[in-house]
Amino acid sequence: MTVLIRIIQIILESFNYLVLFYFLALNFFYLTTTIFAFFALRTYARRMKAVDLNALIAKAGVPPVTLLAPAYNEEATCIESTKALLALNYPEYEVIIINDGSKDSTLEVLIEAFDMEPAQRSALSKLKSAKVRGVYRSKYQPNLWLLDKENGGKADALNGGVNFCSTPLFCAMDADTLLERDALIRIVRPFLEDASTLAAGGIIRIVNDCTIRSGSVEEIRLPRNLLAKYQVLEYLRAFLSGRMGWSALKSTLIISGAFGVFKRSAVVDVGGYATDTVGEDMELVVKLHRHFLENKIPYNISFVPDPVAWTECPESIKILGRQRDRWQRGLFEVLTRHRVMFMNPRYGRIGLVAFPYFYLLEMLGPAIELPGYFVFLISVIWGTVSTSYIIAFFMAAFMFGVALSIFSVALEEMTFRRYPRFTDLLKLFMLAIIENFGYRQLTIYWRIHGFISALRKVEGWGKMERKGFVTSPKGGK
Amino acid sequence: MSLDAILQQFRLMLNQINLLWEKAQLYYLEIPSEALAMQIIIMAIFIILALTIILSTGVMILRIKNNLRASRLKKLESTWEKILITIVMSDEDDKPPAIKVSRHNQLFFVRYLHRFAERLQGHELKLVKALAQPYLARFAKGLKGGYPELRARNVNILGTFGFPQYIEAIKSALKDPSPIVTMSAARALARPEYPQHCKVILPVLSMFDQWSMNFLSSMLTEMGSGAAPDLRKTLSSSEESNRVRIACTEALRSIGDLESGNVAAELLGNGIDSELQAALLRLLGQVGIPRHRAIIIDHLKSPHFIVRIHALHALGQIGNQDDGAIITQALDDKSTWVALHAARTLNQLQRRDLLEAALQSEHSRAAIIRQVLAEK
Repeated sequence: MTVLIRIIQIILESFNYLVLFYFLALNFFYLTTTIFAFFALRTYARRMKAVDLNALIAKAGVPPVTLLAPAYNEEATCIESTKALLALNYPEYEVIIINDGSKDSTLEVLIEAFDMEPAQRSALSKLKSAKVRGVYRSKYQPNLWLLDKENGGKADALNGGVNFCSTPLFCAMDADTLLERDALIRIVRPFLEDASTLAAGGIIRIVNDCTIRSGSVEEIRLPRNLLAKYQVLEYLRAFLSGRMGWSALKSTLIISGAFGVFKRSAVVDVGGYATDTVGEDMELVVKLHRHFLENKIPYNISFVPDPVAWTECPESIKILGRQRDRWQRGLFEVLTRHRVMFMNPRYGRIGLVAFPYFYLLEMLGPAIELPGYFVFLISVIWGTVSTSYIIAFFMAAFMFGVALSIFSVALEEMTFRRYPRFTDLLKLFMLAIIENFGYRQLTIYWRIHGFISALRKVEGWGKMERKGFVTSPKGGK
Repeated sequence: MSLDAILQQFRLMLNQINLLWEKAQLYYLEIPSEALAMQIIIMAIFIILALTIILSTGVMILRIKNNLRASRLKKLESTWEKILITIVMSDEDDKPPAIKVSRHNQLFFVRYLHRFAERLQGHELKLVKALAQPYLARFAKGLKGGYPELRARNVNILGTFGFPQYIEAIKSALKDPSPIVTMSAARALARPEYPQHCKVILPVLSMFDQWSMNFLSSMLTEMGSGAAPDLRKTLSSSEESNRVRIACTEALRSIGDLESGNVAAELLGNGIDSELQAALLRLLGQVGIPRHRAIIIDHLKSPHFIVRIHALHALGQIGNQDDGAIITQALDDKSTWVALHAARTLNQLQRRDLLEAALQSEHSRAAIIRQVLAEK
């Protein structure tokens, strides 16, 4: 019995050390990316001051781009989003909305709203995709196309869109995403400056409770819903500190499926989007890294912090849980599929730094963090660890988390200042504190749930509900 | 106080520090390791807390500062705008009355004028240029040192307001280590009334490896037909990189330089890079003459689909209806892209009859043909 107790004690102690190591490693990475993000954003903001975007368009010209927007049951938001796409400040672009076998009236709504008629258009590449039932083109917006295809999921829809794309670049996005007018001009800059650029991602911001007029965000405000407010802070942290930092380290592994521009030929070369994963956006980026590194072809994949895509975030625990579960499953599927890259010097900093971070800390992390709370509790009850030590440890973790969140708010203030009210700033500070009590634990629970779902090979996206955008009474839809 | 007294004070201070350090060492050596760990954690918490408070305060101060700055600048801009509108609307001669600007706001004033000047031309632009003149020396000075982005902006401002006085300063920026500055300088120098600048721009063109071809060719095009002899010379030189030669080709095409047709035809027979071939075919499509049809038709057999596409395009532009049969063969090309462009070329040559005939014969590329027939 004594031996058994001793063994349990050793296990508990070891686990406590593992949690400590996890905490230190995770925060080391967070701190490193935040510091890199700070310098990168500072340089970027200065650089942007010196560049006149309209002069850029007028003098230099830009490559034509096709916007691919897969829509599945998006009847609530598709008109507003499409209007926003048609109002972009870009000299030469096409919009292809891909109706991925919606069960609601997305197709009918779009055909009616934009006066679309059947049109001829042939596929120019042969990526695997479900059957295309018809192609439509707007009578009064010749650059607006609608691809009606059988349901095959988002990746399948994007592959279908890429097949019909005839421009060197395409922009993958969600149909419910609102792009800012200058978003395309800003996001193609890496392609203009570096011919080896394969992909560039933009920033995603939360549109809940913001006012929309004629397809663009007229008034920016923090959402009223607390869950949505948490997500605002979370997105600021993820994009301004996380992705900007990883991009500065030249190790961008994720470009959000909601807004990213890709070189069409490179995507076709690697076989397009994988249809058997829910993390198709990350899978494509990892696949591009892998292909170009294996073939020793110089390339660049970057994150651009100011082209904004506005998206509606879930406001209910149930839907948010499904989303996070899916994200974690996607991460698991992508990282296990490309595990050959893990700690493999052949893949340079991607294999030696970015991949281990995502593999050990983002994918396996929740499986350490959540049990860690319980093991700490048991250790305290058992008396193997002093209560004051545990309290101090949690205090340190809490304070560090708050500091990093506030740093993200500082990065936002230093650069883009999208939230104009002073009270918004104070609210973001408050959120940085209170998110540690409940919300953070909830996200860890969802992530561990997603991890288990991935192990159980659960498939599918889970149902998402949209309430639609808040439109300004002045401008109508 | 004498030097000795100061040194004495300094020694005393060092002794005090030393004593404190020894005390701290003794203290930490005496306490158990667990307690030490606890103390380190607590210390870390307080440091992070202090940093968080400083950071939050800093952010709030930054917000207040930004708001104040924005409102101050808005006020200034509105004052300047009123004065500027009065000046440009009046029948003033080339010397408008000077606007009094404090030294602190001078750079901002010129940047404002720069934005304002984008909407102007002719005499109005001349007046605004005159207003900026007294402050341009500061921008010329700013071409050395500082951030590359700021140097680039300074070049742009000198490019708008500083011609011809600051041409040499802008030319010196062509030697800047930053490509963004060099590009700004090149763009500032490339203008129709100065085709001679082509000579100083072409040697630095190879620096712009990462820039899109549109950037490069549109810049060269700005200098107009006066730059064509230099562009043709660079295009003909096999020592130049393909990129530079392609940029020259594209510029010659935009300029519509008829003399470059023969240069292109000659180069196409020399076994050159496929991208350059495609560019030359584009050029021939624009400036070629019927005599060049033969060399274009030769390139329909190229192993590179991009060359075949551009050969089709060129044929569509300078060919005639008799070329229909050759182009129809390209509908069977293994590349869908080539087939699509073949169909479009037939459409362009007004040979829809051939497309309709192919459609009736249940051609394997029927979908493409239908698409092209539906295009306006």
